Amino acid sequence: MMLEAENLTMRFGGVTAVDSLSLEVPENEIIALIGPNGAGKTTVFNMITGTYAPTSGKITFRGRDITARNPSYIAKQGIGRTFQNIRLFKGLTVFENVITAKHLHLKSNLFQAVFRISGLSPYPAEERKFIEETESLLEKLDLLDLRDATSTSLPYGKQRRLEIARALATNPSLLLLDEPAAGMNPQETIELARFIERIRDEFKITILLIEHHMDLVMDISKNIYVMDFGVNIAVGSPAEIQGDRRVIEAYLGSGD
Amino acid sequence: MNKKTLHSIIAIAAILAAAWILNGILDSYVRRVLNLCAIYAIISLSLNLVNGFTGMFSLGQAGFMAIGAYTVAIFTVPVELRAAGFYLEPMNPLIAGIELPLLAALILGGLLSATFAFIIGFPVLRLRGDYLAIATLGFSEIIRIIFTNTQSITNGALGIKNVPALSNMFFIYLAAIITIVFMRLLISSSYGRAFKAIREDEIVAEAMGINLFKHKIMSFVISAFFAGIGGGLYGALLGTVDPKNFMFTLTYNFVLIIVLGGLGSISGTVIASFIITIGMEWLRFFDDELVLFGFKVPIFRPGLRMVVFSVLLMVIVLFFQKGLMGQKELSFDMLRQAAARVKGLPLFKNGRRKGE
Amino acid sequence: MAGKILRNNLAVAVLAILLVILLVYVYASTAIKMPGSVFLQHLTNGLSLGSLFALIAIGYTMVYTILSMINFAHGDIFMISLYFAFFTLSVFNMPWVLAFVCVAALTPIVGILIERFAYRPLRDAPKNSVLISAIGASFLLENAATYLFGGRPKVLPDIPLLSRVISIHSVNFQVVSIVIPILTFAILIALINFINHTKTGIAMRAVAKDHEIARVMGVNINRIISLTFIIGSSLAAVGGFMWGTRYPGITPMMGVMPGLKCFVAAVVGGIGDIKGAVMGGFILGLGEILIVALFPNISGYRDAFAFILLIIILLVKPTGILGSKAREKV
Repeated sequence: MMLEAENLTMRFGGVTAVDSLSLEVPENEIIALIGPNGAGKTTVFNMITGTYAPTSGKITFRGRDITARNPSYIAKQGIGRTFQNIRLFKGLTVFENVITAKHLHLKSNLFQAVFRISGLSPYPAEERKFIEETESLLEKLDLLDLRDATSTSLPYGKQRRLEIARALATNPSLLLLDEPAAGMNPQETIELARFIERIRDEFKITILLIEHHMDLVMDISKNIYVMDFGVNIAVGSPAEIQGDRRVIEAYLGSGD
Repeated sequence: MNKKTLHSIIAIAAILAAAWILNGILDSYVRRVLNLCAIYAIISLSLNLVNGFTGMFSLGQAGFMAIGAYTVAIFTVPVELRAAGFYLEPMNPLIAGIELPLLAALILGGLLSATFAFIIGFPVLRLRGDYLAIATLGFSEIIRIIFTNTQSITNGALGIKNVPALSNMFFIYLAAIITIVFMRLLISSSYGRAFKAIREDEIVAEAMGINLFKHKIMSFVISAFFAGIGGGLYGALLGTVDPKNFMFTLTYNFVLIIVLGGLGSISGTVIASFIITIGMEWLRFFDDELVLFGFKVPIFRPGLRMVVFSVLLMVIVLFFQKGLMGQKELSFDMLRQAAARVKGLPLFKNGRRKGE
Repeated sequence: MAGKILRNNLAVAVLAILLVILLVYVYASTAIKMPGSVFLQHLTNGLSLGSLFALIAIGYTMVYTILSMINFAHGDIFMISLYFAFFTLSVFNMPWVLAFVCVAALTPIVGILIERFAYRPLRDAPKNSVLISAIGASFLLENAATYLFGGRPKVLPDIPLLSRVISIHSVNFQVVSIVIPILTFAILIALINFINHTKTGIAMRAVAKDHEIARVMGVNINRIISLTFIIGSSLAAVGGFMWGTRYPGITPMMGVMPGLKCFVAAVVGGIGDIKGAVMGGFILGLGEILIVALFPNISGYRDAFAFILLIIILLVKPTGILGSKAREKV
């Protein structure tokens, strides 16, 4: 199992944002987390990536307990993420945004990086490798022609893609996508579905995504977790979820 | 070696040669002002590393400078001259007999300042924004208060006089150039990118595997090291060091410089250091009486210069938030383009190539 | 009953402060044999200094809640109020009550001007720009005061009614050191009632919560912000006037240290809480006076006390004694 969460609970003051959620993400699959706004989905992401320390519960990633660890540690273990409201490094170019995410693989220390004399310091070789990897990543994601554009000057769809590229640059084995299709039209959503499957296969990664576009979710997910008011109300394959009464009620409100 | 590196080396050699030659030609006042420009550049660069590149807000530079300046003052005053200065309380026997050459004292000052930054960094760098500003300012004042009270080491409020005066432009410009090159190499390295990522968005930087605390403390400690070196040079330039030289308002000079130059621009900082330092000297006429057509203009009297200075700071931050350079750097390409624009020759670059 | 008190942060904090004072008294009377009357005298001094800090700290905390920024110039507004006191009392020879009213009325104008010209244009700018502008405003006031009034200290004339010394059981008090704490508490109660029970006060709390929502609800944001600066500055003026009767020397840089300390007081008490600001002011005032009284050989480090306290509180409880938790949205 790539990722396992047991009885995750997050309370903010008196509000329980997530209530004993358990979740399993098998390797090389696409798993979706859905639910109405405010159901606590992003909070789950924030707990997995260490941004929030869960009130209780346990998160295991590839057999290692990562509960409440520092976010940078968790990123180094191999969890990459994107954000619901695109968060790029605004002042930096497309290339810089992506190569910055390579930093966690750097082995040279600060002095080797500053006094980077070829032959004496390992840094130049490392930097060359970073540049190559970044360029090849940009090429694979069709962003290479925008290499030196300021990240915020990109059209919306490209910004989403750049955010994914940046997350991929950390070489994750698990990628968390927070509403990747937000703001996209049906055509773009279909393209995104193929894109997500492509990166799963090409980079051999596992994907956990939060999404509101049901077509997308039903199309690509192996398994779906449905949350409502912090509680996991259903789990199952797309077909099972589509027929689940509780899910329909959560989305449409119970008719009584 | 690529062309850019070659250009840089030629430029550096030219500046050092100029410093060497000017050192023998200029009168002591001009030399002093130009030296101050270079020293202010060192300290402003150190502040810009933290505030402009790493996106924190530190106001501790005066304190770090004080550590450097006092280290230089304590260890470079000739042993036989010390007793005369320390007349309230003799110098602590542990250090009274130790005399160091300037270079060693400078580096020691930088290291002590960096060590202090490392120690206070643990509690302080967990703070954000204006809390960090207040805490660093507080520590800068605490350093000053300590130095005022450790009579047998720093001679307290009396200060230390007879610091062997430093006026060699070559030496000071060499220090400034080493600082500039170091900062340039640091910022263009992967660590520099990590610093900028923290500046842009801490939460994302962390999610990309950048350890916030580790990188903040790196930036803070390096900054303190160079501020210590700059402070040491400043002390040696002044020839006397006393606690009043290091009031936290001294830090405001460097804040003005980095805001004017552009938060996050090395070349902007250097240019602004010269503009502000020379400008402040030039503004001295505001403090003198001005007689126009036989009338004394009443507003020209001591203190006006600082009023103008603070108005300038306000104007820049209110109307020119990006400063001279924003986050850009001056490059040879940019100079060439500017030259082309001035000469009205858009193809200046091509013309040059023909000649090569 | 006891359980209820222990659940109340304010009550616990007050009890803790009283307990610390008691312990300090035990230490003073046994270890250094300080007579009770001398201790009481120090305590009164500490209380009155603490009240002055409290009056200034309220201004910091109010501006911080409304604009999320440190009004760096607040200490300098306090300094300007002392110059106003000097001019009304010494130059225009006003009776002190009239002078007091003038100072309390003039000082807020400076506060409003700073908000209008240094802060308002940057309301949507990055936080660091606002901070730099605040530093600039502070520096401008200091330099302008130096330029206009000179660097040499001006001495405020004596106000006999306030500076008169009365003694009770061989403890000597200046009248002003009794007046200040009483005045501070009166102002505190009035202010809390104003914020909790008047329409403007409620609007103020709405602006503190969320500018956009308050605007949608029909609150005039700029008016509320100006009002905040008026209240803050007039309290600083009251503090300044009283300060002047106790410590009569006025210099252009005199606002800096009290300003920094009072910001620390606001943070210690819990920024955003007026009661917290007052409590922080008392902790700082009492702490400073008692440390100097008990350990005269470290009195040179007096000004460091506030900053050390700041670091400790930020490490132990960053939201301050009375503060509640805040969280950044991801």
